[in-house]
Amino acid sequence: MTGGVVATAGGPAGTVRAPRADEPPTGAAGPSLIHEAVERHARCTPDAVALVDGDTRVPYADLNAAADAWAAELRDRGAGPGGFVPVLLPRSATLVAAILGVLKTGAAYAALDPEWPVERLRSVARVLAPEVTVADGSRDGWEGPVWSPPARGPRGAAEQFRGRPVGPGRQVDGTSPAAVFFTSGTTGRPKAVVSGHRATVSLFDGGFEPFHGGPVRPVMPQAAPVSWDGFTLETWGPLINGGTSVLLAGGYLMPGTLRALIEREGVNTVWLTASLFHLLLDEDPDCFEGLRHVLTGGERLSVPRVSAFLDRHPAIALTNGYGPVETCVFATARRVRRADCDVPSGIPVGVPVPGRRVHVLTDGRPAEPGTTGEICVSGDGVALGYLGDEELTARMFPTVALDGVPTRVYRTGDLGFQDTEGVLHFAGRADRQVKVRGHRVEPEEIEAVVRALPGVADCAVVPVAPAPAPGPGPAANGDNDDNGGGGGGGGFERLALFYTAATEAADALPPQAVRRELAGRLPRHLVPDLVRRQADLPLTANGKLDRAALLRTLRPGNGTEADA
Amino acid sequence: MSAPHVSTESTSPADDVAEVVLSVVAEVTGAGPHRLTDSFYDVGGTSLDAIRICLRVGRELGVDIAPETLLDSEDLAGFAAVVSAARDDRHEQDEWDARGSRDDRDGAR
Repeated sequence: MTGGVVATAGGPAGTVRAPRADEPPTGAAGPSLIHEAVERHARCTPDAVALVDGDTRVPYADLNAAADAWAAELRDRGAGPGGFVPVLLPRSATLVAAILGVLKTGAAYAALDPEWPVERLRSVARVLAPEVTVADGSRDGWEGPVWSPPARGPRGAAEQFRGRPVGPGRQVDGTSPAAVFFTSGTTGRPKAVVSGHRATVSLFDGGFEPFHGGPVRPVMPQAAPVSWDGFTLETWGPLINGGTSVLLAGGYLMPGTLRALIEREGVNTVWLTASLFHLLLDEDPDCFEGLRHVLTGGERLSVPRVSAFLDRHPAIALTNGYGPVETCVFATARRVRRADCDVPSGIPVGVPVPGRRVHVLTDGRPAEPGTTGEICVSGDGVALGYLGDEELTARMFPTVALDGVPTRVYRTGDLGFQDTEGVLHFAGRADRQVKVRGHRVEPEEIEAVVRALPGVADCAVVPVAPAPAPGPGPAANGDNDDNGGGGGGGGFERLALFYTAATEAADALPPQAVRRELAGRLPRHLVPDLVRRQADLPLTANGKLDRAALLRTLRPGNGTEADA
Repeated sequence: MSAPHVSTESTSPADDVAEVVLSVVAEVTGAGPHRLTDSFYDVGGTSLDAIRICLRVGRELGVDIAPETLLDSEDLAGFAAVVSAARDDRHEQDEWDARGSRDDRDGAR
């Protein structure tokens, strides 16, 4: 990889942002591996709290000692450089120590949600082909050896093993795989995104504002699903910076919990998907009191709510982040200011974060400022590829000549433009991928699973936008048939599935049965919220599926079929 | 969109909880009326709706309810039952605390 290449001055404006003065040069001294970056703090501030898990506080020394001990166990079971180790544990201090242990063996981790349907877990395991899996007790139907961390967790392990020599490291470098994230794919199988150590370290050790230096260490709740790069943000963000990750018991950060964590644990930084940020602002706008930094993004922000937040909390920095998981957490970010609320295209997504560069391309060439094209990202943040899918990797991560320099980029499929100052603005999707409540969804993936159900003839999965807010609010822009993938609105609120049955018998394959089948095959965020059986799927005049007509059937008063 | 106001004097505390649940679910989903035998998915609820519903029901009844409670309930009646139990627990706790503060723990009942 040719990291650190900087565009020569004089290239077309807006193609490549000029390097910022505060951007540290790539390859500067400093750790290049996630676990090295955490080990630093075990040496310098061994007693500082790394993790809070309920009433348990795990200091850096104990976290590191436990990870060393568990790495030795995993190494004995075949984990090592080049391997992928699934970790199926609930959110806990044990989970974080186990992941750190995996990294210390030189292998990459894939944190999987133990609540996923067994079938999805199995299909994921096949892609990973692991030597060993970390899980609680025995997993029914799991192929291959399972190692379970001691029930006493990291503190116990640390007491038992402290001082035990660490095995040989250094067989991996910053470009080695560190993590595998699973994201919605179009084929009915999730895509396994392989992210290198440097993708994470370049961001969090590279001067990214919310985590950057200062006497105050980041203290963040960890609430995102552990299988996503939200976990990277909420765990490695603090741990690489000597801060604290506060592990949430449940799956949802409620405003009351946030208040309690700010008060009790000194939480000062929080990540919320745009939908959740909006919800908390609606329901409990003062629950942010006491925070230093709120990071949000993943979907278009609501301007009236951002404006209300800025009025109410002038002392809290608000950052809008943008970036698909293939760019690891964020590609760009914007410290939101009042004037951003007047930008016609919405709150900008900002400038590249450390370790990433952004290129807006049309027909493979850099677009002029103000011209919309496909957002492409290069640099240390970009994933190594999709595990087990070389063809897709080659397609989505091409090497293109930018200013005469061959540059490996990730094609996001997102549309956007850069203004004359190089600030990126989001402008929708080039395909059917959508964000539903902040989750990335490929409707084709769900459709492929539905079509495979016995008795289903055909189907369509259609995202449903929120109903227009009563009273003053953003004007609904025509019908809900905007195919810009949420580009016209604030993301989607729910997924509707319409299907036809193979037989015409009225009682064949009721929606409830279809929904139940899907709940057994898909993670919760991909299971359609509304399921309806249709006699036919309507087509437009030119023979395409008429999504607008389907959506119209959902309006109140049009419910002729029972919902599932 | 509020549910017709029924006098609560003749109803049991559990009925009150059910009434609050139905009215909040209708308010959040913008649809209804729903029945207690409806599952949360029958009413087209999303996880964000679940968060809103649990917050509002919790605020109204003075209890903390995790969204999982609603997402994992068979139907709205099941959810109302859990909420009702949480409220009873809290009342018991309040009584206990009040008793403790009067320092006559042994004089229960």
